[in-house]
Amino acid sequence: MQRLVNRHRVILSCGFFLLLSLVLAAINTRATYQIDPVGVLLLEVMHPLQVGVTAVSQRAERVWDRYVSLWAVHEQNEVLRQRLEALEGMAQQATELDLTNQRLEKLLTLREELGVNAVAAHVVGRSPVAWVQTVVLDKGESQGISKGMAVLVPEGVVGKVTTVSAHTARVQLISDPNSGVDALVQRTRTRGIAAGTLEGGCTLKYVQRGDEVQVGDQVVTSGLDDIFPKGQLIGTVARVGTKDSRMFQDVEVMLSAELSKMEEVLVVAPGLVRAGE
Amino acid sequence: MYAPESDVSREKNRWTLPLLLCSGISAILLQTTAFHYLPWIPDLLLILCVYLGIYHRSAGGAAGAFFLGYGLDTCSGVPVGMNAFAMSLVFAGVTALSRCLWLTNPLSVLFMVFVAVVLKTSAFLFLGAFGEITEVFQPIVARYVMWDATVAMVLTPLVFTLLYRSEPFDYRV
Repeated sequence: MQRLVNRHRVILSCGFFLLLSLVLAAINTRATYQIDPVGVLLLEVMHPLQVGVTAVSQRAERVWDRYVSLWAVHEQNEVLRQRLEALEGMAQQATELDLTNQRLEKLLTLREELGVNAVAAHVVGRSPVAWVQTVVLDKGESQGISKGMAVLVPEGVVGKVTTVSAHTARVQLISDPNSGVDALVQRTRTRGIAAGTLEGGCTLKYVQRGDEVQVGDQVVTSGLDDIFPKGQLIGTVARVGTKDSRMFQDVEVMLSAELSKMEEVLVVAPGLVRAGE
Repeated sequence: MYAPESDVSREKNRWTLPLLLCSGISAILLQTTAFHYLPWIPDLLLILCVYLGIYHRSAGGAAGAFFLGYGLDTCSGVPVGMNAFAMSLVFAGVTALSRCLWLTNPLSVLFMVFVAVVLKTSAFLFLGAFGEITEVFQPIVARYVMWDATVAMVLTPLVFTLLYRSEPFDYRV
């Protein structure tokens, strides 16, 4: 018997443990409470180990998560940066469009005010020489522009067309030293010639010593030169000077049109007057 | 030059018990804690039982398989006896098969692991039916058996190498 048991020890022990576990399983899957003789003790033994391993693995998971998250954040950052750049570009375009729209709207209003068929044009070039104040427009003879036409912006007078080709026109600005526009001081109706200076400014020439001109007076076109419509704003008197030896006053005019920044202009045929006049 | 068989057996047991205890506790700890962060929890205890079934075909091996399963039952909240029964069945099956098969080939060891997964699954299904909880276990076990087998087979070379190198005896048959 002993020999038989020794010979089949493995089989017998396998059978024993299978039977034991089967009984345990059979009872525990049906019972409302667990029959677990050494389970409580085992749990107590395993508890600190489980706590330790869990803490370590949680820490490792957090480190891993942060590492992975960093990668995700990096990629997300790149995507968002690109998106931001695209949106900034779009916002810039929208702002630019808005500003252009505002300018064109003013130009349109001016054209309606003038009551004539004026030609709107873009400034596409400027004179690089300081003492020659000219700009080049993108419209020319084929669009109805001819030499001697007045060039205006909603803020005031710009100059006149001096050269014209089929598709471009050169404009002599009012700030050019060779320019001259018949002008009036709006308040006192004092006449003079608005001409450019070498510094790029504007003066009102030939204002007699006895004529009343004050700083802040507005200077407008007289319309007598048959180029500029009457009453177009040229600028504001910035300084008035009188030298005893001279016959005329020195009247410095601050131009109302920002000639260095304008982008669109209106070209008007000579001799036209304000609508309704 | 050779020690008597009983001495060798005693020496083996003296070495195997702490090794089995350490590796069993480590496996239970890993399976019940750290491996929960993995997409699939590998059944290290199953691999351990296969190892026992191949290299420790003794009453001690059978007891070891039983207690490994019992420990997992206790720590994992499964009704006590389920894993114990499954691991005992795995041990018995592997032991029986390893008597018939030539197991020096690593592929046959992997086959043995696959058989072990099938045996464990069968044990769960059987106990599930027995305990009238088939509805809970059957779909889960049936669905994941292939995954279980794949993960276990992938890890088997590593676990076997670690265990094998920890032992002072050459058990290869």
